[in-house]
Amino acid sequence: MNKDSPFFFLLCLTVLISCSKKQDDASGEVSAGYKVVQVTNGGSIHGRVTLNGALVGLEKIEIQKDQDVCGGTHTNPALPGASGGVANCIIGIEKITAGKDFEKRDHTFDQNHCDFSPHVQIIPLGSEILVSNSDKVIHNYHVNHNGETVLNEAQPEGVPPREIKLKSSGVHTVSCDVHPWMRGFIWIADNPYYSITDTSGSFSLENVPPGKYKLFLWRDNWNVEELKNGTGNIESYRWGKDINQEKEVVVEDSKISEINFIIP
Amino acid sequence: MATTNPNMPKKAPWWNPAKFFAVRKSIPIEQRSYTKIYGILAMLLFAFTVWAVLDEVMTRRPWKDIQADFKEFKISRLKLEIKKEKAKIPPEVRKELKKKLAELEKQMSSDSYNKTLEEIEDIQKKLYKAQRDYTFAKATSDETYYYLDEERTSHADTTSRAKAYREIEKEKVQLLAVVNNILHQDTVLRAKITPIQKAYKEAQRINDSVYANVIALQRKVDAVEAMPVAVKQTMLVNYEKTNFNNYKMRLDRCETCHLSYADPLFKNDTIVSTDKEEVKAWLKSNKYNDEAHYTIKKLGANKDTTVAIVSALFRLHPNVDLLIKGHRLGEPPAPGVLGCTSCHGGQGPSIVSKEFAHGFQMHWDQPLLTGHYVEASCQSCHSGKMDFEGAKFISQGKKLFVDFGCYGCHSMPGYEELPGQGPSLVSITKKVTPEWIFQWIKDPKGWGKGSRMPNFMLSDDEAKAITAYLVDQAKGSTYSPLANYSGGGDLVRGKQTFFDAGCVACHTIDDFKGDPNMRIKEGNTFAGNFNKQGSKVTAAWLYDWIKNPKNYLPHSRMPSLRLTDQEASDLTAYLMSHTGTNDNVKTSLSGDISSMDLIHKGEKLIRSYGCFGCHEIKGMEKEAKVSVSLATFGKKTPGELFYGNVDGETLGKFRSEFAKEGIPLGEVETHAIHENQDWYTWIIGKMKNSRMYETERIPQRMPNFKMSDQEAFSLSVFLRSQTGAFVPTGYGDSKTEPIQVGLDKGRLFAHWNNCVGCHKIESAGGYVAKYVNDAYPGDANLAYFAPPFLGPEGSRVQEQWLHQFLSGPFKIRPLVKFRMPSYGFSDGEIGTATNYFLSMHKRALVMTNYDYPVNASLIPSGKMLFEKLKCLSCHTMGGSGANPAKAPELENTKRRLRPEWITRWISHPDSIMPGTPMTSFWISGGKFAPADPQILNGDPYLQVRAVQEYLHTIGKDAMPSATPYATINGSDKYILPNGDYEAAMIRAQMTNANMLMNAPPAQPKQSEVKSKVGKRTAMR
Repeated sequence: MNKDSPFFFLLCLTVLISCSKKQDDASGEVSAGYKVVQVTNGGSIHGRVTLNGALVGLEKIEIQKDQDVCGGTHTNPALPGASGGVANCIIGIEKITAGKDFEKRDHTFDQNHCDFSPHVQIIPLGSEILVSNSDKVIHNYHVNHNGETVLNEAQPEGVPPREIKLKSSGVHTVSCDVHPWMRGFIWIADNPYYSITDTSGSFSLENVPPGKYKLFLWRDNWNVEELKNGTGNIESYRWGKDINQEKEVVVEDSKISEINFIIP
Repeated sequence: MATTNPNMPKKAPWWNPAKFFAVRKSIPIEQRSYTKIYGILAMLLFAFTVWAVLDEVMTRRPWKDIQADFKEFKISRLKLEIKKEKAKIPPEVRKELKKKLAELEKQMSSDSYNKTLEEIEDIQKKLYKAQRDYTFAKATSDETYYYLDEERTSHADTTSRAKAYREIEKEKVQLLAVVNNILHQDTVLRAKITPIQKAYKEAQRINDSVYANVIALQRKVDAVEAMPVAVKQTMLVNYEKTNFNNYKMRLDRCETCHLSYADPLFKNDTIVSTDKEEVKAWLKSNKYNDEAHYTIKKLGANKDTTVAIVSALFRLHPNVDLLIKGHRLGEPPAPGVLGCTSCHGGQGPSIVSKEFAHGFQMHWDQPLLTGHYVEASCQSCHSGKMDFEGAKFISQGKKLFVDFGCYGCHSMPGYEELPGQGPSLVSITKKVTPEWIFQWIKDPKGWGKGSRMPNFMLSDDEAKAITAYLVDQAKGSTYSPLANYSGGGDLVRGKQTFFDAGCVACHTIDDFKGDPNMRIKEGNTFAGNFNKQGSKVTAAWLYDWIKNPKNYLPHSRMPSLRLTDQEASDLTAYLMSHTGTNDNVKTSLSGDISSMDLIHKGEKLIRSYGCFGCHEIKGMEKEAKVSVSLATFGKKTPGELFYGNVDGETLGKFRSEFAKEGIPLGEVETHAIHENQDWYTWIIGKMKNSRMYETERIPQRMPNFKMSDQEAFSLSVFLRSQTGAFVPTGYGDSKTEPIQVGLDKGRLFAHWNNCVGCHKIESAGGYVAKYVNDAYPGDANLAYFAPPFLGPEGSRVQEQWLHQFLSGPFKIRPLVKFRMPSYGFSDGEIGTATNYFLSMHKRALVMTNYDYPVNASLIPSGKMLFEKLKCLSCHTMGGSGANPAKAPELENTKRRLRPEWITRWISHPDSIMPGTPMTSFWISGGKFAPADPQILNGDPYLQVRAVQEYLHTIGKDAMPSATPYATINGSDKYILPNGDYEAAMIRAQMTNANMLMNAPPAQPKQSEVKSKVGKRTAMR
């Protein structure tokens, strides 16, 4: 193509302008209190979350509704696993004003076999989440934050996936009013220093600017009780209170700080 | 002439007036000259004229300087914006654009290009000439042809004419060829330059579109530069009335100086420049040299880089959306717009100086309302409103005026119908002991910090006498308990009942604390604190009271919570377990209180203090208010207020202390004020200590409310609003238009009965929600909810249903904590509430039949959707469905909800009640979308309609029956304010709501009138 042609010129302009706008938008949304900077000499925080004592909680949850789709029993999705390490804990630095950039990826939230999948996930503030229903039955995602409903939409079977956005940071409990055993958690993060423990309970936060931080742990409780109504049917499920812990950590230049949590 | 008299001195020295006039005296009158005197006077006149003109044009025109400054200010501000806009364009784009334009410009200034242009110019000249020649030839040809034709028809000789015609035709063709030749040359030449011109035009177009914002800003700069220096004003035709009752115009010229009140550019600190040197230069050059107006402020962490000039004068109005768009730019208060002085005060037409314009001069009776006192103006037009958005103090002050019962002693327009704030004392001895009465009236705040009853500073003897009279007048009481307490009750259960039944909505005890510094009757400070209840009343009285309040006080606002005997016993035990004494009273009632002398003394004291202003006292039902009217208190001048012996220092302290707390008293014209004696200091002094201005010779009787600073300030803002100012028709809220009357009456009603304690109704209310959320933190499976938001009520429920519900409330929402109490409202009161809800939606109370012919073709789809969407996961239908139920019974919707509402509600519940537990089924990604892709071809409108119609078909025709007011000794009792059980029974059994709705509102029954105390109980 002739480089001097007005078409090429126009093309360049359009591309340049649209690119610059996108950058603006992205930085505008996440930057609420957090600034992305180049981190040099960043340190790391490594550790493990372990369980002290015996497991209390049902392994199997009995289901009395829509059994053709949901099945008769469900494995308790909140159980920490048998290895001694506690999976699915969120470890993060709550108040940090500047640091590395967010990892870019797509976020999905599926309602599958009458459970939310994934059970726990971290999503950067301002990102969109693609919600889908793979079941042949209606579900609704009733999102609670700080005890208040922030979103409550139904997704009947056959309805296409849709994008949602949650506006405040912190833990959001998602439940389904049709299938009361369903619980999922979305952690909206206003900075990228968050990690979910793996099946062995290990976590790591990389490239942390040196300094003193408050590291905290959050996990949903696996302790569940089946509540029966007057007719002996399961009416609802009562879950234990969320687990919250806090520890101080000092991160030094290019060094690894070890810190472990024990859930009593 | 001087030469005629040899005795006359040669010269009269005019520079020495004494000598001059002495010499003059010696000259006979008819010979004296006036030339010099007239000359001097003429010169003086000329000088003064020049001076006057200069003064008028220069010194008395500060606004000209301000406008000049503003121009500069705004231009610098715009230039800053231009800089920002430019920075937004990526440098590559800017570079590319510049390069392209420069390249084309270069081509256009090249020699060959210019030569071509010159050639084109030459050719144009030639073309003009050739075209002219050709046109002439054509004209000659036409002429020749005409004559030729004429000769032919007259059969004359045509030879010479024909020859001439042939020649001219030939010439014509030749000339046309010349023209065409030149045109061709022109085309060839133009083809050389047209592509360059086209490309340049295109490049400029792109340039303009990329720099569109910059260009727009540049145009604004031009507009500011072209702005004429002129007085700007708003005319409010027929806005005011003169003292002769004629209408007159109001003229506001405030915007002549306050130029940026609606300019969003001045929203934040008005940054004139981020360049330090520029700022310095600007400060030097500004003309309106007043330091208070321009201050330098450093913004950001790096103090050297970001420097701004902050101007107090050039600012955006802090509440543009509500106050400017709503009031000034003419939306709601049509006709016409409001000026500035209608809210802010000040001298609208004056622009000669800041002091004059702001009205801080003698004899201007509406000086600028500064600080929060501007809120007083809201009241002038919206006299019925209780909660003003963004005007906290007028809202608080207004409520405090009602809640402290000020209208009991002072008459005030708008509050004449309110009954007294305090409880009736006619049966007082059946509730408390004489000893308790004595201690309480000595110092109510000693019993509880939140007590609203003021301190009358009574001596022991006076308190004893008053106690004696109160005990004596209660002898005629016919009260006896209907419900009998048989002892027992569990403290722990009682505490739970105190919460679950909803007592916490109005009362405080233990952990549920009120704010003793803001004693508004709203939320849990509405009624008494129970921390010492056990030492105040007897268990027998308390049990009967909580079971059936209307038995003791027919006019009490305390509702029945339909307590079971068990609940009432538990509560009684719990409340009686809280004991205490009056902290501040050390003396006690001693001696006989039955002597007639003492009783008479007490009666005299009660009459003088006007206790009957708040309390019903036997033998004093017809007394008039004991103190002055406050109808025009807000415009009193210091000369009309009595300051006693209080010195300026004490008064001045109020100013400094309140300023420190962030609630500064209003500004006044300082040089005319003597010893800080102004309106603001007087009223604050009076509120803080009502007997402050008392002297030996002039005693004062107003009791001491011992107000906190916040309370005193709020009340002063409300009193400031009482100017009796005339509000022209169309500007203020109407006092006769039914919808507005419905709103205003309803707002007072909702405050008076503490509806807002549980429910959010308009912008405020729902104070119990925090307790519910604390006690039952939200877990979606087990959530309990606070009482519902009533904003939509008027468009949500059917009128008949609302009437039924308010006459005997029943459970609707299974997960709502607290029970809706039984108030035992009269039909008039139910009408007030119903009208209030309807008025919020601009609806009038009309009997409506909500039955409609169902579209049978939609029903199967509706049923299918109903099942597919699993409505019965939360709702119940005829008792079956969710167990236990989480949401309202659906069989009742037919008689409860308006069909229009159902469609609106299920379409998008979250937009009507944010945070509702109801799921949105037809919302996908924030947009209205089908809940099912197949049913009814995936048409969401039809789907919603189908569900609504299906709900209508499954609905029951009967409404739930009204619950009894109270159940006593196993039998249902319905009690009306007049204590008339029979009438209430009949009313509750009336199923034909039609009759009720058409009944004339608020016509009290004969039996009710009898039991009422004068006029004051017309509204409960």
